[in-house]
Amino acid sequence: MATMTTDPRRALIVEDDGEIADLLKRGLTLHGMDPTVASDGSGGLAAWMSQPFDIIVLDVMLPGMDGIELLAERRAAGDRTPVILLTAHDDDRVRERGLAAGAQAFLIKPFAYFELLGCLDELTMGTANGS
Amino acid sequence: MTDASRQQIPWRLGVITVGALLIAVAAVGVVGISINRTVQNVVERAIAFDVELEDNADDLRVAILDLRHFHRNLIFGEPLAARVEAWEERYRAVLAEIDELEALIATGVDPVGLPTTDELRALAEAYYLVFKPAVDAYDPDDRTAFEMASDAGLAQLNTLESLAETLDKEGEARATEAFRAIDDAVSTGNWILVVVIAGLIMVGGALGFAVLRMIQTSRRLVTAQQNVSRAKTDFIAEASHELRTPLTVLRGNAELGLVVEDERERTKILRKIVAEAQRMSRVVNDLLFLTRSDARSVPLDLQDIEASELLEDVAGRAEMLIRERPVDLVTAIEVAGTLRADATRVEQAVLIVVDNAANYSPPGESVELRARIEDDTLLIEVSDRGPGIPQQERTRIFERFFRGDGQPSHRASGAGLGLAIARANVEGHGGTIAAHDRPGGGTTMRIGLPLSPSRVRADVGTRTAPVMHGEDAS
Repeated sequence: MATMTTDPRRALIVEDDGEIADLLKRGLTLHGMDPTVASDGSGGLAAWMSQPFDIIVLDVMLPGMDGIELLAERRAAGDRTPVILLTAHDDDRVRERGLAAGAQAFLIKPFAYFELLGCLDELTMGTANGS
Repeated sequence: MTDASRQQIPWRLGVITVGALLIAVAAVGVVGISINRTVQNVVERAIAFDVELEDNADDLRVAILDLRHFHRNLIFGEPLAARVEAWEERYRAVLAEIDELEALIATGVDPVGLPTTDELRALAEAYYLVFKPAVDAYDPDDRTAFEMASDAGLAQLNTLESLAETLDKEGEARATEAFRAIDDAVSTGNWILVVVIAGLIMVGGALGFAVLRMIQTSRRLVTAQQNVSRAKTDFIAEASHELRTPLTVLRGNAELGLVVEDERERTKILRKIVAEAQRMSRVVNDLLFLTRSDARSVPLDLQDIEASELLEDVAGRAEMLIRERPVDLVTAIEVAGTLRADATRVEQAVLIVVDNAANYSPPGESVELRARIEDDTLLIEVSDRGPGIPQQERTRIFERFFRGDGQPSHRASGAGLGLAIARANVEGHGGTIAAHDRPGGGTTMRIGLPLSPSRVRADVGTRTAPVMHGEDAS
């Protein structure tokens, strides 16, 4: 398991469902990360651009701008931050769109906490702030 | 199901027209055959008898004329042996013609009223018997007896000739009549065929129409079936999506609970799990309700209810619902009349709308619940000072799972099913629900429920119950 460091990995959670956002925040904190939460597409975009993150946990279905559009916009701007997409739609087309837009991983709700942690660790391995 | 029976008609029509067509084809065949047979009979009869009769009678007359000619030869010249022989030959020819006529009449259909061949033969023989002895006893010096016998014979011959003429005339008349009958039979047959064929064309047209209708109906049914099946698939996809979200929270919290060591943190997680499980059962209940209320067949327990009592109950519950929110509830109820309704379902619909309004109202603002009677309709209006609903979303908000942009956390207002449930309830009562702009900003949701028509007039004015609550609970 990753260890706490003085400069924890920074994660941005963009999730409109309050309970899930809260769950992710607590889970990531427990895993020794420093999460920031945004609850819609435009808020997420603003937060993402406001500071560098080590990883983005991005829900697909968001009010306003959907997660894949948000991701595509950041990738178009040259942002390479690793992204884990979350969705409640177990649909190949959504997965294809997400991966084509530049996501590194794709988790279908309800996902296992340890699966999420595995993804987070793998994708943040080798970052300056990683363990 | 009246709809189903209406869709049966083209099928029945099809079967009937196919049957009618077959019968019509058979009828054309039968009519054709019978006409043909009639014509054939008439023609046969004409040729076998009527025409033949005229023919033979004519031949007889010719033979008689011939005989008279040779008779004259005997009178004006000497009755030489050769002349007598020729005359006798002509006499036998007349007898032969009478035999022929006799043979024809024997096969004939209707010899009544005609001279018989026996009469003819008797006349011919009488002629011969009177004249022949005089010929044999011819005396060139005393021709008196010879000429007297000739006159007597000629008298017989004249009678015979007139009878032959009668037969000839009769035959002619019969032949003419027969040809006219042939003409009649043919033209009647033509008319019958024209009528039957016209009927056949009409039946064929009906059949074509029925087939067209059947095709249209089955196409419509297939489309309707496809729509239903697509709606079901969509519903299941949406429903599973709705359940994945609370499941994520449940699973995540449970897994987190296994990792967390702090007792207080763990209790908090367990509380979250319980709350989420409750929320999830509500979603499941809503989904079940909507599945059952498919095709606007909400199971309703209809009772005659006083509108004022119903609304007072609803207002009470709405106040309880809103008590924990940072908004006030203002109620203004001015109704009279009776309606046939399921109080629980009406209440559910109104509370969903009130809950929605409370969710969108900025803190400190008030939600208004107003009710009044307008044109035999109970109008219930719930108004908020929220952001309002864009024009293009005003009907879509009543669809299942619909979520407009700019909503707060969607689960605050359920799973996007609330307004769909409200609509199912209201429409189940034959009512309407619609979102309108509220003057000064916000939204007014208007529910219209029909009052029982017979009671409205009598009750107006007798039971008005203006109730003003709110504005005191800041």
